[in-house]
Amino acid sequence: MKKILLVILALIMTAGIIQAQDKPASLGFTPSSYYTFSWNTTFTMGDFNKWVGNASPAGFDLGGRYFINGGLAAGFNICWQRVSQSYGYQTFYGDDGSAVTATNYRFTWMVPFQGVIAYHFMPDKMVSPFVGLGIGGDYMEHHLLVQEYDIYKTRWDFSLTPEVGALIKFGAFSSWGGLVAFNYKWTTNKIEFNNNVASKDLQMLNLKVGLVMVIR
Amino acid sequence: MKTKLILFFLGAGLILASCTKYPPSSDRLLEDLVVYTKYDTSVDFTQFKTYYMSDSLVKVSDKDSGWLYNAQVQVITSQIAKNMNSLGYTRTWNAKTCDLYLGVSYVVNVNVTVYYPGWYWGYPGYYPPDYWGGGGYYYPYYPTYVTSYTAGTLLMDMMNVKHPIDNKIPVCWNAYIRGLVTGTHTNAQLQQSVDAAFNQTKGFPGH
Repeated sequence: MKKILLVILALIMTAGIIQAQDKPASLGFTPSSYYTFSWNTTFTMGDFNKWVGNASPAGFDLGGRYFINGGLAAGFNICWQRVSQSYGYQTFYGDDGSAVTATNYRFTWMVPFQGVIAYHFMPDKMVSPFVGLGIGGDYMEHHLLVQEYDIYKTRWDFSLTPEVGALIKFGAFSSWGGLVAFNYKWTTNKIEFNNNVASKDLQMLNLKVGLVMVIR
Repeated sequence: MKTKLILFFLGAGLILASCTKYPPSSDRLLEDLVVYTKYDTSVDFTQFKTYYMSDSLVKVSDKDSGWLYNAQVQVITSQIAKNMNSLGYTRTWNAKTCDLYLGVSYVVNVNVTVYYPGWYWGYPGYYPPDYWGGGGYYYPYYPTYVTSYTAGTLLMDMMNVKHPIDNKIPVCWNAYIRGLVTGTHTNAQLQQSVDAAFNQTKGFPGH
């Protein structure tokens, strides 16, 4: 986790250094909006980490931002994420007299959807760092797979996601660029299975790396 | 620009749509030595005193049928007997007068993809239910089924021959252990798997 934070910090600092050299490179236009598509790696935290401890690279994020006033932008994010982990041989007891001793496989499938407010410090520059806050919800399915048994719970929640990141355009007048962002997500979601596992207020960190399409 | 935007969303949509919810089944199915059990929760297992079990395993196969008896089978049946004895049951060699009949078989090769417990009862080696005056065996509970199996799966059915219900002999416990009788496992693994089947059954005396 420390390594990832350091990488993010280094990227943001690098962006700052690039900006500090001579005059910051300009895009040549002020964008009116942009769309992002990123690969999302999830790091579970707190109680969620007790359910699935592995970091998961299984996730994608689609987003859009529309500049309202100066660097202030509003938009949306829709994602697909899955975290999973195998737990070796364990015995699962049903409430009907059944029992299975097998590898337990846990996974959570998430579809987050949020409205986002973001502030870009230099929206018309080649490197455009930003901070943002996402507010919305998730549809989550928590599955416990024991061979043919698929025991699962579905839940909707409310979520908050503060985020820092940067857009790095590929060239002046280009409408394409890269996106690096890091966010912390807090949700009201919880996991309960026969009182065996109990996790509440699920939290996670997400690292997003992807493409951005900038609209003039 | 509009075309680019449409292509961008189409590409992103295609990638999102191709993302599956479930992890690959190869990660989580068809493992060796998976132990399934189920029992009739309405049965008081302390009422039984004796049980009958053959020393050989019934072969369930498309090609031939009959019995299997070798060193590996000896380890398995001895371990079953050890567990039954530790539950307080006494082994009897008189199948006619026992309280429980323990049918033990294994799948050699059968051309089925969905396996419901009980389909193998007609194979030679199983005592016919009319031996105890019953018109058939049945599960008083909804038995577990599996959608795949490996050759060598061990099947165990515990029949309550002491108390036929409506002229049928009820199964009060069943278990299967995937891939146990393949000759590839150590004696310790065979014993541990058999122990697991008994230990995970909460309805047995003392559990």
